[in-house]
Amino acid sequence: MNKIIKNCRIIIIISITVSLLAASLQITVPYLISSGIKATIQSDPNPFIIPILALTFFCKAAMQGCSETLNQFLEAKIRLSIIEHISTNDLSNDKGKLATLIKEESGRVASSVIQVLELTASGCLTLATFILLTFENYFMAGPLLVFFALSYFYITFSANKVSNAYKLEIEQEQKYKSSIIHLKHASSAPLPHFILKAKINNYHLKKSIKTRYRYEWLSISLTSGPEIFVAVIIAMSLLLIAFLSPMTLGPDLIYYLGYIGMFALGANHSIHISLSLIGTKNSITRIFKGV
Amino acid sequence: MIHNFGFIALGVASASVNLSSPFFLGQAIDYYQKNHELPILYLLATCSAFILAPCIRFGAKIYLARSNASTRLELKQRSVNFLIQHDKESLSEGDIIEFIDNDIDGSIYLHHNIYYDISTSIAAILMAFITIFNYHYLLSIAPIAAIAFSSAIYILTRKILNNAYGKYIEENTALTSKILSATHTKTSRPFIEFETLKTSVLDTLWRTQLKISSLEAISGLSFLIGISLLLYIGSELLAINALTTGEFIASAMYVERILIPLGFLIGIYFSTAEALYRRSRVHALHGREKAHE
Repeated sequence: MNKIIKNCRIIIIISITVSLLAASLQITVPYLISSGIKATIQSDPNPFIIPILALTFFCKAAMQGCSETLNQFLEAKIRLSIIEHISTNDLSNDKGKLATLIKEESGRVASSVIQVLELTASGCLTLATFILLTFENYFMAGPLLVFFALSYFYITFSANKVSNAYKLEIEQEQKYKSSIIHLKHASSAPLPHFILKAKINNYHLKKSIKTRYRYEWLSISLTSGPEIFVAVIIAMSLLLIAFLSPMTLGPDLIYYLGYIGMFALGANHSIHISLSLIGTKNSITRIFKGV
Repeated sequence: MIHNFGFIALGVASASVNLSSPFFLGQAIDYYQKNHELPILYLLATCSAFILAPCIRFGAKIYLARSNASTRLELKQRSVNFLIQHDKESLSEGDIIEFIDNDIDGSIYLHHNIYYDISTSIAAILMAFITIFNYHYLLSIAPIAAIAFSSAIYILTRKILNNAYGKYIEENTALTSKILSATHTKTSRPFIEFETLKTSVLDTLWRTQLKISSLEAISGLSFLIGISLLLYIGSELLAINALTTGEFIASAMYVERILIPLGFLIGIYFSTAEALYRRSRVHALHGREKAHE
């Protein structure tokens, strides 16, 4: 895996740089909008606000387009390199395993690399919004720090559950793919044998879909928990702001809520990616260590 | 299809709860600025809406995963029955798996999730639009301009997008299927054409993705058009006292609530290009199955 990543390092560096630039431009947008609104309310319109906003938007759109193209290209390049590795190194006779590795797991591992890049960008975004919010209002620091600590414990606590569910899902997928290959080979065999293989295939298909649903259910439950928790934190922060500094009930609130929203989005995204990466780690072991 | 009505209803409910928070917040700001007292009830209503929104999303996601599982089973059973028949020539193993698994899994989003996502976005846009129109009809020019710009991009790019990923999917399918057929045994020789085919697949993807990302970036400028017009019209209305501060702040939040789902709709449109092509392959396969019967 390290060799594949090394071959793509230039694209990875450019992609991270472009994503970070796009994220920093995104951070300035609520500030610019809030400044525009403040200036409008105070009947002192700033003639530069709209041109600056336009320039920021143009640059952000260009950066996002670039980063999206680079990420898609990188994902495909890594996926094809993994397939190349499997086809030259995996000497297993189990064609079901090969089909699962080539058609299913190579794609998941490749997209996990892109998720790591996204995690870097959303981690930076979360940190930057945390710093901005804390500088603006010290009361914000408490609940946000509590959230950081709890996220860490939550991910550690969920890791085993996610990893086991993922392993089960992949094992079942492999059994199902093997049954398709066996069914194809049985198409020229006597009819009773073909019917038996078709029944086995249908059984594995149902089981693979059931285990995938279970994995999705677990993943949704684990990622929605923090999302609901963040919503409670936002509600608490709003009440704190209103009670401790009621003067904030005005245009500043849009500025705060914009950044709190960004923080929540970045934090939830980070947890979601982390949990998904824990699962994909099993595929990396299967591909590169043959386990 | 009945499932999809459920998703549309959930989407509308989710959008309503999401939009109620800026409404209550706008009311809270107005109340505080008029009376200089904390608007406890409005604040509690805002906080409840903040908490209820992710709870509805959680329920919808579980319901979607369940429906996707049953649709996936039904479609895969049909494809297996048609592609592998007794005493009949069939495609290679790689092609069969691509048709059954990759095409169905790659287009499953279009069966249920898309109804939830689109209904959430359209409901949010409509409700926010009505509220802005009620604050002052002139403010509605801002979201209308943004929507018109996005619609123009949609009309202009529809043809390009329909088959944008076709060549990439066909080349990619052919390559992975060839590899799967070539890597069967311990004695098989490495697949020597790989490097050339890989370069060709990556080249096709690069050109397709660059075109699509550029169009998506241009469509994203609708946000800028909406916000700039809001600031301009808002300043004019405040100058003649046709709008209160609270109304202007709330309408700014509502314009954002239109522009964000609008951006999301643009995202769905551009990101489903590959799924659309894969679904057309599944439809073609099941169409052949019906004709065969």
